[in-house]
Amino acid sequence: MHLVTLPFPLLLPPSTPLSPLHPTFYSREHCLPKLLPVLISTRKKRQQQQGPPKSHLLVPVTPSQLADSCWLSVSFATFYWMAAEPFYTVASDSETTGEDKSQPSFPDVAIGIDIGTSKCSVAVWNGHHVELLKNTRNQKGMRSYVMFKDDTLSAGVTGGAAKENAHEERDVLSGSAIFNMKRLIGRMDTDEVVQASKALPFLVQTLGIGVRPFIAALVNNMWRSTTPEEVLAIFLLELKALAEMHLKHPVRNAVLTIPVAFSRFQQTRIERACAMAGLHVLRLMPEPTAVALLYAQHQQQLMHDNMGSGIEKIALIFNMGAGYCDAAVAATAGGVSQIRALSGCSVGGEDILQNIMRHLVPNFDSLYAGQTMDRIKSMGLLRIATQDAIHKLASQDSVEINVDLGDGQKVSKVLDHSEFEQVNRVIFEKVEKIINQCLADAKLVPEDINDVILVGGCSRIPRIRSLVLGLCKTEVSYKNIDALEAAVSGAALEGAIASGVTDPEGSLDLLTIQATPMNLGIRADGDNFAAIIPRNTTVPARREMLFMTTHDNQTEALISVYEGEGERAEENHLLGYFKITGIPPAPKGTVEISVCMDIDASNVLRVFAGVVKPQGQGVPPFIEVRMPTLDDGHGWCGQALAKMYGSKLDLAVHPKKLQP
Amino acid sequence: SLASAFLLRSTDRTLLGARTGGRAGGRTMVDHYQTLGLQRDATKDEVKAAFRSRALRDHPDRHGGSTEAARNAAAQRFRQASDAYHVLSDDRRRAEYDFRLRSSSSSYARTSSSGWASSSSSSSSSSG
Repeated sequence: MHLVTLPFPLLLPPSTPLSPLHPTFYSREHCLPKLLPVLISTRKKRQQQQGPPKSHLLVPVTPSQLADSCWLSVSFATFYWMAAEPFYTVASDSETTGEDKSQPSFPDVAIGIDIGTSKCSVAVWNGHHVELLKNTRNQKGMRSYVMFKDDTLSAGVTGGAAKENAHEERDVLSGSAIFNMKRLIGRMDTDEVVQASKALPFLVQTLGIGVRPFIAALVNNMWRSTTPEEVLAIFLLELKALAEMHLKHPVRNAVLTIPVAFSRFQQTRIERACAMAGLHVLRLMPEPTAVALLYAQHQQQLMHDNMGSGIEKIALIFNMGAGYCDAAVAATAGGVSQIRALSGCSVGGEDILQNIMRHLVPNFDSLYAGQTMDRIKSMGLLRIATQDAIHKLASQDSVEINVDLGDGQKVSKVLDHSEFEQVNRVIFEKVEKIINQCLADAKLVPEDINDVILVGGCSRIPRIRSLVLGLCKTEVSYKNIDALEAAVSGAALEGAIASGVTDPEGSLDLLTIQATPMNLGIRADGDNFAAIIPRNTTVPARREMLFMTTHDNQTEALISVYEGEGERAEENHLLGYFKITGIPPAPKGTVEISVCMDIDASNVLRVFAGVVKPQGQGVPPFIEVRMPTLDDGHGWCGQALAKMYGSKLDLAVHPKKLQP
Repeated sequence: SLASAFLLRSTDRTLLGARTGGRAGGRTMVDHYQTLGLQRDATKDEVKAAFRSRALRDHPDRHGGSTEAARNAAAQRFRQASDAYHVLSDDRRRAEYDFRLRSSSSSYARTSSSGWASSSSSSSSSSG
């Protein structure tokens, strides 16, 4: 019974009626291993099998309390078990996840979660409308971080729980907290976003060899390692507990919003973190598409109130938070929002902040190279002062920054808008590119847009607002939407709809028809990228393309599946690869190979491939592969494949067109 | 198994079809107008409206509470509607399609010319 060592107990809000479940109440002989085999069984069965595990607790609890909260202990058990071996067993890797419909004795409505780089929020459909949940500090937007302290872990949901322990921003910046998980998750150490994350107070170590970065938090003067998935899981666990406390029933399903720029590999990491926290991902929604669903609801409401025309409305939705920037064009009518185009990149408030910090302290990189305690503290002070200045600049013409960084370093400067804009010029150019690409992909001109919806924390920056509105040739943005609550509200609506909830008044007769944010295709014609499902294709989607062999008597072909916008395969994300073997020997160009890609409603990608010409008994079976197949450390797989096989297994795009 | 992986879908040209001897280019055309319940002279707005109403009825997101059979049937209909919309909502694709439709010697009856197809039924059923 000593199988599991609890790495860190987790803090729950002090007010929670479930506090007997606080892991510190458990003895080390706690029944975790016993609980594990029954994780998927129903709650009732579990109790019958085990009876009240009262004897395992250090403090007395009434059996009824336990019965009421037994489900939560299972979540914790799942988590601690996973946390002990975070890389091995995760339900989300199995295709059957979520198919075990153990008869729920509670309304199984998926909650909506917006995991922001800087702040998170959670919302639910309460039967009448979407309700955002507040934590014990009365916050709807909760700072995204996990604090590692001595033997305890606590996430920003509770923010240190009790008032006297409440974390302040300087604690979060002390090196003991991990934040910006969304910028780090699913990225390799060659990624520029990971490189930029080295300017954070906790440890981000890279080797530049295409593996995951090493991240660690400062605990008692020691760097203790963790992973972005683990940190996110801890955060989600607190978020789940918060939702369960409000709803008074277990929560299992969730709809999460993600940036448009998230690769499919990153999406699998989010699913893994959710699985570690005991959450099943019902949908991952690109953030602006969640906003589009909320907008569809607004338009329906206006119709019902006889204030809307019912004519199709085109909305441009722009979302910019701390880590990412997204845009979508949606055509909305009759409660249906159809995503016409999506674009996004990993540029956000964090980049603006770092630009200003480097502007204020020109020798930033040499000054803060190597994270000593003094340097971490000094950088934290600079961060807070800079953050504060950026916020003030949203409503002031200029801002005075005075901060003593210690060790004789002082910053004293007046920053105005023109200087701010000059320093962040590159960021504004990227924003411009995103908007223009989105409009071009939707085949629209600015005059076609009826509403411009600005959401996310950075949409408060005057230059961002004027830039987006200017590109859309609009004077004002859409008013009836809260910039910080729109995405999570849309996710909660989707959660209710996709859970099968109907509303007698018709306020859930809504739908967002999603589109693919990136091209999906394979490497062909040398190192080129042949897009089989082009970006902005309506999902669910299925497209097929013909290829041919490039060598005489070629018996094998390598199918390397990529996702992205680059024209060359290597510029895109490699999702996986497999070989077609046993191709009948024939002159080059005469063998036809079909590759078909299918995305289903849950956004699962499957690739089918096989020889279609010649036909007959001598032809190998088709292959079906679920993507992505790659796990960690795939950064240089593409190059390794090229080195190993050269062009031996190459295919070329067949000139014969397939009719739509 | 292969059979379940490559069920037939009328709108797709198919590996399986090609392999089992379907004539290249000889497949019978699907009537996208019929799929969306439209006349041949439907306006763009009518095409959009028809697609929306079918999406609201058949899209997998609208079938979270349905039985698996109903959900799969709806998903299949949504794919057909989506294919039809893909063609009819774009002027160039629609003109091309109309041309082929007119020159097609066959009647507009649907036939299962087969395709990579319904793994739509197999795959969407496994992932709900």
